[in-house]
Amino acid sequence: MFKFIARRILQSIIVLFVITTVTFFMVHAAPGDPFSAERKMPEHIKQRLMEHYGLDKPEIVQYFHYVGSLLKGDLGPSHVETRSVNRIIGTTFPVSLELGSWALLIALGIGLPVGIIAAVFRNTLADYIPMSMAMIGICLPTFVLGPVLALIFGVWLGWFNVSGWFIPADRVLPALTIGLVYAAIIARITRGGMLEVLNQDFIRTAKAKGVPFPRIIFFHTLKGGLLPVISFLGPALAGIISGSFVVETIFQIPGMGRQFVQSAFNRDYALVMGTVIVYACLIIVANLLVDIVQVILNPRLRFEDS
Amino acid sequence: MSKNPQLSPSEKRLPDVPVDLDAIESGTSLWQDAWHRLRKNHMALISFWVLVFMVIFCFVGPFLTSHDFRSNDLEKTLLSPSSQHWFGTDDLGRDQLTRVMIGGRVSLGVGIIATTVSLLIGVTYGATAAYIGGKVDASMMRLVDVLYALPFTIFVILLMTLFERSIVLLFIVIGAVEWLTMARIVRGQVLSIKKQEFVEAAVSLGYSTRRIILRHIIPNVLGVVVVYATLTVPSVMLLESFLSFLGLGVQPPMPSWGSLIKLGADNIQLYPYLLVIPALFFSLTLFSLNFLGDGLRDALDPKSSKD
Repeated sequence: MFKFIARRILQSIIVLFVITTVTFFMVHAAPGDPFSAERKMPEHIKQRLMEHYGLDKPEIVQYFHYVGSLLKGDLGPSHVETRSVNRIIGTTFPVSLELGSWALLIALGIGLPVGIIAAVFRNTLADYIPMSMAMIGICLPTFVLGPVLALIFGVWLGWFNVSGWFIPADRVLPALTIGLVYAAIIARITRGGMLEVLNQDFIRTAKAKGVPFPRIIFFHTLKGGLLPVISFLGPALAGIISGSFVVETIFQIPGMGRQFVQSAFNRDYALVMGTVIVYACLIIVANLLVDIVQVILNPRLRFEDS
Repeated sequence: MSKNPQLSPSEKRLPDVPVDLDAIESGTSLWQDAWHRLRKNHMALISFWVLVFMVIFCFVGPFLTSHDFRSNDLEKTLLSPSSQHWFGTDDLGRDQLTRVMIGGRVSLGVGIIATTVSLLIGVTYGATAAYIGGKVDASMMRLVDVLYALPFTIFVILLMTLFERSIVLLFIVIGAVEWLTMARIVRGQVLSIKKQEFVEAAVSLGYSTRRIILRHIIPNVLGVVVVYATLTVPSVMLLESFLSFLGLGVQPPMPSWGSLIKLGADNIQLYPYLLVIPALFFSLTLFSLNFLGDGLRDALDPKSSKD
């Protein structure tokens, strides 16, 4: 098992390195530079700026310089704003983290119970109604759900602000927008996973031995039934991140998602690179954790590699 | 076998049924079976007709309206729906009905073309991996695994912002993301079919490899490919609209359902119909494609249907 974890960590480092390299050269291969978006500036000033940021050096030199400072945890200065990339991400990341955490909480808080109930009361109304709603939820993209929620609860009912990120109530609509879609997916996955375990022989044995029904559900079924949900958490995180691009734009939230889209528009090389690397780290670490937890929970996986 | 001696050979025969020799020759094909099953699925059938309506609406509709989707009329901006402009007008006074039609044309068109691109790449890649097998297969699928782990929306956004935004780039970018799942599915399917008895039977009957591939393997893979193609179209449309919503997809004055929804989202306080109408068309299309895809899966591949 330690061999497995060591190998996965090594793999993650390689993937991260590949992402850094690919992004770096892609950003630099793109037409235009950080100073062409602004008003036309005199050639000699632009020259000085390029020199200041080291953009006049050959790309490969810039690359090694970048990787060198990256290893020290320094993402460099922003090319458009006066602050450093670390500072910018330092202020936007906590906002997105909070939004993402609420969204995940909603997704699990609604998805898990609904899925479990649907599986236990299979083929009854407690199964059909939530599952049909989940089907609709899966089809609804965040950029439709977000404005619609804002229209209903913000404009028509007036319960929440339509945009902004100031008071605690401002968290509700954005978090719901991202969370509900994932609640729907998690409900379906939970139901499927639970059903698969419920159909297995050891559950029948437990029933035959007279184990009380709640105990069967919570002690015997849940551990195996939730495995698919855990493996979905990796992709879910990636989805929540891309959801944040849209939701932070709709609700005017000063988070990392909106800042990423903005920085790509501005061709702020350093900020784009920094954001991509932070996102990649997040996703890769999450996938790594998910894999490790899975191996711990599912003994069958431990022997697969040997 | 002969533990039942009192049973004469004639009694052991199956009851006589009028046998249509032609029917044995052709059998009921996979597609006929599937069609029978699909016809019983009301949701899928309704979805099918909704989609037919959408296609006619978006591709024929613009010829029937007397408005152009590009011509601005600054004296008629943001009008509410009326008999003149059924869906009202947008911020530049353009007829919203025509724009919803053209936007749908873009969204559906991107959906279909990008799906075809991802289909071609995915099927070729997956089938090749499964056909060659061994180390080549392992390393090819390893690459797919690695690509899966990459944060793709981030790269898509990056590509669409950094390079000259064009509809061709949009196709390439979306196709490049969506072929991964198809490759995995096709590979799995080819591998499992290769091992099945009817292929073995065909081999032992001395059929040529060409005939086995054409008559036995491809028709069986095709079902799954059709199902996943149907399910890929909505996810492609989603990605396209997602990009257009962020302003990174199709460029104005060309609308897409995504950019129309964006305009509506920016004006929900005063002009909710700008949001509600495109959102309705878009969601309805997505629902229908998903339900039809699910129905097709149940019809074409009964074994894999959910529980």
